[in-house]
Amino acid sequence: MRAPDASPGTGLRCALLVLGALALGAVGPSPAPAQEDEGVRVGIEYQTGYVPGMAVTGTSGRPALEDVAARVDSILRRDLEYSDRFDMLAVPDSLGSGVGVNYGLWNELGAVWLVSASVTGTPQSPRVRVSLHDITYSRLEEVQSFELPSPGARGFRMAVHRASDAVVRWATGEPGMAATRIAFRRETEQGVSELYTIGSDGRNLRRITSDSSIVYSPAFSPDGSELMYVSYRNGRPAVYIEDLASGESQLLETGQDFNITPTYAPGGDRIMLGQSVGDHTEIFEYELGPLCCRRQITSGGPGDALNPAYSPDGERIAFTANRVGQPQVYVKDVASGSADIVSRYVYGEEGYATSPDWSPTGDRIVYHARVNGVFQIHTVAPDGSNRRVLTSRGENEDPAWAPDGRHVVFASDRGGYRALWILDTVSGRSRRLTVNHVDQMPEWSGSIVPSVSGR
Amino acid sequence: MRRAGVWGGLILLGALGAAACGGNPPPEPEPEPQTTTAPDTADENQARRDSIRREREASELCSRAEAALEAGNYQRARRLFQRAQSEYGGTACARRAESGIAKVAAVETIKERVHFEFDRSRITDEAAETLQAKAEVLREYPKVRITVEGHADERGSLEYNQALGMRRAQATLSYLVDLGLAKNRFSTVSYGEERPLVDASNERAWAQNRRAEFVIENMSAINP
Repeated sequence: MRAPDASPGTGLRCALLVLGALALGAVGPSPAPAQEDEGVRVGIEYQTGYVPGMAVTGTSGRPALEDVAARVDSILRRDLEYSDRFDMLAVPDSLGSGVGVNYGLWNELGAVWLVSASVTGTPQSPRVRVSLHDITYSRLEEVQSFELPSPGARGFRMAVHRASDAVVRWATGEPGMAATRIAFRRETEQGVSELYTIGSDGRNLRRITSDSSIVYSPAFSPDGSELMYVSYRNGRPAVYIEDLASGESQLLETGQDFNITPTYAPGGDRIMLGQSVGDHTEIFEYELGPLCCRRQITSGGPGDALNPAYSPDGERIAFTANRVGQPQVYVKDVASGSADIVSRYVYGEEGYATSPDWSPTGDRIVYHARVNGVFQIHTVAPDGSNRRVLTSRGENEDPAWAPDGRHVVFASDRGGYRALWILDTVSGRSRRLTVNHVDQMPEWSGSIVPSVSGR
Repeated sequence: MRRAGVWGGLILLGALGAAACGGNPPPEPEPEPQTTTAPDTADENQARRDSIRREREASELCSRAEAALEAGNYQRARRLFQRAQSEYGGTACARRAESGIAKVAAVETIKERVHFEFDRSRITDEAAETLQAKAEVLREYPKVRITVEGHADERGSLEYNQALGMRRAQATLSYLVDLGLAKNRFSTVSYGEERPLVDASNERAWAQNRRAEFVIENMSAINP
């Protein structure tokens, strides 16, 4: 899918912005805030094709906090840009300072939302007060203060990302995806791979494993504190759970010598994975802590079943199986029932669809399937209806949903080598997340909760 | 048998060496090695020295051949054994070479890869022939333990290929067990598309890379 061109209005608005600043500046009186209104507001009602304008201004109370304020401002701005929900307006510094919000001016400049972030406290222990102004209705929509670690500390960016996600939630009523991590595998040399995590904004790259072995299939626990994955570090594919804070990993003693594609249930209390049954692979579920109560979820070989992905309520799974002589994506109730194909299957035609992930909003399943012999990212409703192909450039594989249910991370060779890319399934915009390595099998965490991110 | 003198020592060593290689009993030692003797005795001495040298060279050749076999360098092992046969006939090593070459052949048969069709784990007719030959050799060496590795080509999904590799390893194992071999001699592992045999992206490479490999876990069961 082609990314839309930059809005033709952007340049005009920038010009207007400067003119407006001169014309209205501090002179124009702020219009009185509109009365509280029960009706639907223009800026909140999200419609495909309509992207509301947003401006961000950053201020600091004291010169000592200017650096912090500048960093907060740039992280916020980038996060909101990457949310793909707003048309971010360029704002001259002169407009950022001053007391009070000139709603008339911002309205003239095309802003529907104004985010102002003011940093207070000390450089070691700053806090940011984030306000969201509804320009259309000339009122303060929401305001909240966020404690921040010092800018040099590890949790700083994540704390600001949380403020960004709050803004998205205030403005749209939907979750953001800035305060998240993406885990993936990087080929460090031929046949050797390690796990890494990276922030949703492409910063804070962190190496998780150092085994000089083969790793597969990272999966975050629902709170983002643990990473479950498959490693060959002891010769056979086994499941390990790594505590991301302590860096300690533990072998999951399944008693099986073939363990692939593990995933957490939404509650974090159960897992599913693929294991051998006779000569093929089926999906099994275990309860966690301590590991027990193995039960078989799929049956129907001789083909393999793998890649389980829970629905948000944990009652259904999407998975890959090759029951019809080729891999296809299926959906079934965990408790009972037969499995239904949801990927495109035409008898006698070559097909190949694998690696499903169920969106956190529950309404879409993303997977990759061949189109003209090349893997492309698809989405489909859980009942198999409304199938869409989202990519066409290069080969695109292994998609995973962001917690906002609209962004997808995947591996693509469109840039000449296999890197991770993020696609907004609503606007079709995409951006590169990683560079200069062979990166695969990305998995997106849920929103990282504060107690986890600070460590 | 306690004798002074360089000659006596060398002869003794040579004799022991030959004996150790399963050769002839040690010859009578010379009574007066340093004395100038009649021509025929000198010739005999020369012949003995030659024989000792040949045994020593041949023995070294066998050691290299066996090391090559141990290291998995089968073609080299076979070449060295064959050289021992052709150039050092009559030596202990040459007599051992025959069984050495048989071991090389056994190892090669055990390790011969089998290949699969795209996205399939079915044992093809060609693979079946290979596995039947393998089974015969494995019956001859009943203590050998094997890890069957399943591999996939680079096309397809990474995780799916991990499962496909396992299916290939299991299908291969099932075929061997059906031929009457004990299941507990085998283990299986899948490497998916992680370890291509040929690092290229074309039909020929893919066909080579869709395979099962056979790793001998205890070479000592073949080459004690």
